Amino acid sequence: MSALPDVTPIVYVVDDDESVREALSSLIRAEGMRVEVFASPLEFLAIPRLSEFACIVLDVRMPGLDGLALQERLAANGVDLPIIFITGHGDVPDAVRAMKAGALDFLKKPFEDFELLNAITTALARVGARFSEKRASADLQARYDQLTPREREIMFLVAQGKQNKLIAHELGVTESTVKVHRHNVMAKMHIRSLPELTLALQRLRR
Amino acid sequence: MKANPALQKMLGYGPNEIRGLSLIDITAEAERAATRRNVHNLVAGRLESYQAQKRYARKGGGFLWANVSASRIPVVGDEGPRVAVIVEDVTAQKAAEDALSKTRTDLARVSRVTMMGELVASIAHEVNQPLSAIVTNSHAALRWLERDTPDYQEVVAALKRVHRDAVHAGKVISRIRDFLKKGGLKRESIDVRAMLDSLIAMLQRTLAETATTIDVRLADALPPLVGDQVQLQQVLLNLLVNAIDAMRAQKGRARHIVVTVNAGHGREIEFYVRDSGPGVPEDKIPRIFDAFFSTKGDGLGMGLAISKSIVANHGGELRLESSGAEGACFTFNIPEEEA
Repeated sequence: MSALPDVTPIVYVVDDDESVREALSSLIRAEGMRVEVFASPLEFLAIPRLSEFACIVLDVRMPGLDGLALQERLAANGVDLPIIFITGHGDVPDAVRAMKAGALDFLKKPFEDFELLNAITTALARVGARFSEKRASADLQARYDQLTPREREIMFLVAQGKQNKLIAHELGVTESTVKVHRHNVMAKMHIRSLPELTLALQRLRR
Repeated sequence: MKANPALQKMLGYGPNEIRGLSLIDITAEAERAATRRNVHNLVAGRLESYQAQKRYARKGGGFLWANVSASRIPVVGDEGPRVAVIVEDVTAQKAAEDALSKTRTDLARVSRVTMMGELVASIAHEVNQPLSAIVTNSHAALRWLERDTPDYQEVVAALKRVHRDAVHAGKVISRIRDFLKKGGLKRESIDVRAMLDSLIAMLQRTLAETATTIDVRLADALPPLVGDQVQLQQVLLNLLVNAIDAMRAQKGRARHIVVTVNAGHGREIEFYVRDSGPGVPEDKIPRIFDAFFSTKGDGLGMGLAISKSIVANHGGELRLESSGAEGACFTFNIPEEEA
């Protein structure tokens, strides 16, 4: 399993200043990442679906709803994408509040490119791991869903460490039938060993 | 001298002690010259009476602030002329006034600092936005160039934005400069003598307390002075207060200020404020007009910086004319407005 999934991550940029938006967009695209810019928190909240493999670069002070308020709103909506704050003011109380609410970083404008890019990399690595995990679980579930009821039954019995003979006896079938089912389970689930099978079942129960 | 029990008690003398003393003896040292002059004029008949607020020295040390009303009692029989003095103790009132005036000064200072702080913060923000965009755009341009296949279109776009934002930042700065220059400046005809008189009246207490004397020398024919009276007053006030502060700790040498106003070359007025203090320390001279630089322990370091820009906005220049063991002399000129 690779550390990062093969989906291009997105960096969402929310800043009311057009020059800053354009500049950040160019810098982030130059590093081969996708970027989407928003002129206000409300504009950002209006997008119907957020990518799960993404992070947010958020200006602190904006007219109307500000960055800190957006952070609260997102948390309330159950969005837990990492947030990197950028600010032209660098007020300590703002920084403290943002970091306490789980912000990943707090950068004072003007900042060096690597400061922001490092923060973005850290943020994406964090959600990337989570995203891969989630995707792996989803794949596993999809494979499990392909199993026939009998195959599932046999999979649970195998996972309990029971021999084919015993399983055949319990289910009232021949041992060779059990063998065929068992082979199909392993193939459909992409599993090669008993420990792997046990692990997959644990994961599916979660 | 005869004094009633009330005055004896106020000054802390017994009835016998006070008999041997004169009005001058019980006057605070810094004010003896003025008192001597007044009493002399009364006795000589040049003055019928006078009122003053002055300090007497208490026997045990310390001062008694008093409202004094003195008048001459004409010659009776073979006795010489006498002076009747009514002394009203205003020490407590004075202390309250001092506290109030200190509070006012502190408040004025705080509000000035706050106002300046807000101004600086808003300028900083206005300029910081394009500046940070410039930093990011130039980094971006470099990164587009450093890619395996450089993307020149992106480089050009980023550099165009750098240019645009730099021009914008420059405009913000010049807008602020214009605002400070034109928006804030009044043009009014100023009576130089009246302006100086009211300034000195304002400083009377400080001058008395620090035993500083002041001399104003106005040339006879001065060109008309046009400008912002409040701001020019602030410049002069700054220079005078600096002069007083510079001489405050000075011992064994008279504390004296001379304000000279001349017609300069061309049609302009020159102001000189000269003190008899120790001069500006030589190593500090290059920095005295810098913002936030102060030689005073509690100074904000804005006085001379602001004064210099006020004078500059009036088309003149404020500078240190001379500084040395004989004292410091600041001068500025205000050209008569053309048209």
